[in-house]
Amino acid sequence: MDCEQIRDLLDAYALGAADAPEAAAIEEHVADCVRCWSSLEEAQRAAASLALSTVLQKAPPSLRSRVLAEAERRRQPALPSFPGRLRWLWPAATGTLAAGALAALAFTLVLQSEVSGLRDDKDRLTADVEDAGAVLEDQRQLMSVLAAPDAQQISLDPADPDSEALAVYYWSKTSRTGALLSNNLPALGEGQVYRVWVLTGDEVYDVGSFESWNGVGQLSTDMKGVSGRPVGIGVSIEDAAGAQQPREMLLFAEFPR
Amino acid sequence: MRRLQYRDKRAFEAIYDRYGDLVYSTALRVLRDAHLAQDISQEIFARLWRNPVSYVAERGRFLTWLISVTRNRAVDEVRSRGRRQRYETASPEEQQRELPADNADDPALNAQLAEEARTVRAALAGLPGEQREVIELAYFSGLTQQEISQRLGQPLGTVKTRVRLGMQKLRAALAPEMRRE
Repeated sequence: MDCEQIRDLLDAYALGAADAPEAAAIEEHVADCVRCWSSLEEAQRAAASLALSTVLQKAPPSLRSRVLAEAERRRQPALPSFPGRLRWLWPAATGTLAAGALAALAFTLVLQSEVSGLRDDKDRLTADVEDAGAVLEDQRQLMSVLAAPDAQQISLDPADPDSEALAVYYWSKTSRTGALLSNNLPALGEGQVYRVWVLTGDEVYDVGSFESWNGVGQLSTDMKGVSGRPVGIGVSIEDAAGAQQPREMLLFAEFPR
Repeated sequence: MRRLQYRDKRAFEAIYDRYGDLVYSTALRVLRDAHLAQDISQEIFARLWRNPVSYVAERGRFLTWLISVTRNRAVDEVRSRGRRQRYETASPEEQQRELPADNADDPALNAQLAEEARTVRAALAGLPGEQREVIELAYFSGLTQQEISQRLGQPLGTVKTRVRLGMQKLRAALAPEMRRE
């Protein structure tokens, strides 16, 4: 479609009334056309102004309390850590990206055995057991995702064509959970982590972070907090203390439409 | 917004106090259920607190973004619940009655928003009924043009024309407000 055809569709798109093929054509076009992007923003502002035509209802005071209490409760997710005795397992697990379910199953069984062994030496290894349990939980989630009838696999490509980094994201639309397995990741600097982002049409969500060993890493993700259809997933390197938005994507993939 | 990006709770409270009623009213208009509207409003503000940079300045005005995510989330909720909206089947006369009066008193809105609200209501009231109808079915009921065509028993091309003409007039009426932003 040319600019004129696209602009004829922008009002309907801004109202959320364009059909799927038209919406896809618009999104593809405005990604590369500054003038149509500007026209779209104008249409979106006009559409959003419609909300002002609504007679204003006073929100219940309890809503304010709920909103502020929710903000108080929110905390950044804890960073996963990797117990020393288990580190040797990571290449074995994540090196089998393509093997998927079978590798995950085998890895989980090995981890279960490892966790049992660690529990025999409670005094010295309590912390390691807890960490191993967290890793095992990751593996359980990976298995759960892979076992889902609607499990999908998405390959993430490096933003830098010279990079050898690679990742595969397995996810289930119905359970809104997923697992990212990655390999050949570049080394992290002091105090840095790999952070995973999910993009929707209008938001960027931080869905967690992970470290790596010898360039290999894994993260289970819960997308229940992601509102709207995810359109992309990416991995960036950020400070471990947290990041408000990705600096530069290391790996990225679009979700299939 | 910059203060909010650093998780300034007082800034967050100020934003809630300014826009809370508008977010709630928008959700309520779409959902027509007070409890659901509260849940969605809470979710929208939680999202804003959790990840304030999901709104970025390059994407335009904060109010436009906030209303859009509220409306989109509410429409998603309606669709996911398969709820039939009363407004979808309301007659044009009923819809006319639902259109707020030009001088509707909204003390919670600040002066600028109140002025903008009056302009929007006047612009909507000035549209031919059939154009206002398709715009409101699209925006507040979350129907696609195809669905509007089927609901009204009008050709798809007619619906598209009404949407386009109505929005052109709306944009023209709102142009002075938009230039001020």
